[in-house]
Amino acid sequence: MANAKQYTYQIKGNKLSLLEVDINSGGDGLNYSYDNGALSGATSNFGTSGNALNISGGSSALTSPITSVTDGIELEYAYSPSYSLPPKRLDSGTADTYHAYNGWFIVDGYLTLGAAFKDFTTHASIATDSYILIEGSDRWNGLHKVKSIQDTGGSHGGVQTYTKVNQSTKYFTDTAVSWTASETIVNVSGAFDDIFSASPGTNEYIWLAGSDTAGGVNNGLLSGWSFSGSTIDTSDATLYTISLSTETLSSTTYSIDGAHPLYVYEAFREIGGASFYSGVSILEDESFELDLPVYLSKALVYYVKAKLAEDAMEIEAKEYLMREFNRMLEKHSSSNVAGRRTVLAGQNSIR
Amino acid sequence: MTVQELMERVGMTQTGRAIAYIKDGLEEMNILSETHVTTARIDIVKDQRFYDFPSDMVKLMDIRCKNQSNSKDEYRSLPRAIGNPTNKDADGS
Repeated sequence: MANAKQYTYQIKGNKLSLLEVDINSGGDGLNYSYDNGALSGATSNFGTSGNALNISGGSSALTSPITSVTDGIELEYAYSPSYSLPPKRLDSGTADTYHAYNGWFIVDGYLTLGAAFKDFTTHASIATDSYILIEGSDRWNGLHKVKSIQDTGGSHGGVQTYTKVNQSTKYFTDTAVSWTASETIVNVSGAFDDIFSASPGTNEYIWLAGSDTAGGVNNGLLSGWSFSGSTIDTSDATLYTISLSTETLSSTTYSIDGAHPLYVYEAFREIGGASFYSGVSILEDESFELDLPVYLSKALVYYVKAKLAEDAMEIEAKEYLMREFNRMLEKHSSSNVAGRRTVLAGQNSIR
Repeated sequence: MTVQELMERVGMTQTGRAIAYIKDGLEEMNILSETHVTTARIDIVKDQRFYDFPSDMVKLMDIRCKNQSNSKDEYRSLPRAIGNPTNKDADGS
């Protein structure tokens, strides 16, 4: 059973600042302690003779989260329904519309998604200029437009989107390296050492691409590599693969491959994996079906009319139409309420 | 209702302009009365203080954390902190 925690939050610009109460010492985070027998022979106001309240040696402070927790934060939010999702299919081969991935990296400034050994080009619904909807990501939940897709032998081997990422990440490429059966990549330029760490920490990841062996077994998301001379050694590295929705940790098993380009991107892992829908319909032409209940449909008509009136500088008409828009929203809210209303007693209220 | 039907009811012929106003209208609806609500879960990472919001979020309604004031793996709402925390974070503030 997990221990109870105390979190709090702040909003910093466009980010959520999560803070946790850290009980440094003393065990309870209180600024007082009840000491049995602290005042020998004396009478305390708070207990029998010999007991007293004292100042505690323990303390607590707000700090960054003390432990990692999978799916630890749950955000409830309103979104604009300007898209519709396809049926969720993830086991039908080329007709799949739901895909797992566990790594992202940046290619030419654009967000790119990757999953080791997965060839996204085989799925008909992932096409250039189509839309995907990411969910379960630590950072990228929402709609994205596809810029390019590559098979596992490409220069990035993933799904590149039009989402610009204002973040500088490490990137290395070499023209002719070889993958060996002893899980090493040889003939690598020494510049690798200048860009990436030769002995990285446990939370540093790279995305390897370039080799065109069958199944893309020489590529993927890695951590725990080492570099020496002109060799990247991945024999002790962890390879992160993902099946339908489950992430698996394994070791590399290279197919021998010679004189191929190597592309290495600094990568970020979606711990446990994330997923995206492909073939998402978005509001971009007249045939799009707005999935709205009756009052909201009417409200939307009033809103568009109000905007047209505003453009024509008919301010009175605009004010009237916006009032009708708000009235329809209220009607929609009221239409979902039925029966008596009751106020629940608070935790500490008198009952 | 399709976009075309809406355009006919309003009396518009410019599709691009209609779509722009419809998108504005859908956002306005959700800001005012939260007509479409969903949840997203993200991982808490040790020593990482700052987290991104979903890119499709229009209005934040609640923030809950696992095991907040309980040991039953329940998600409960967080209080908002006032003032600046004493312990600063390596990635800013």
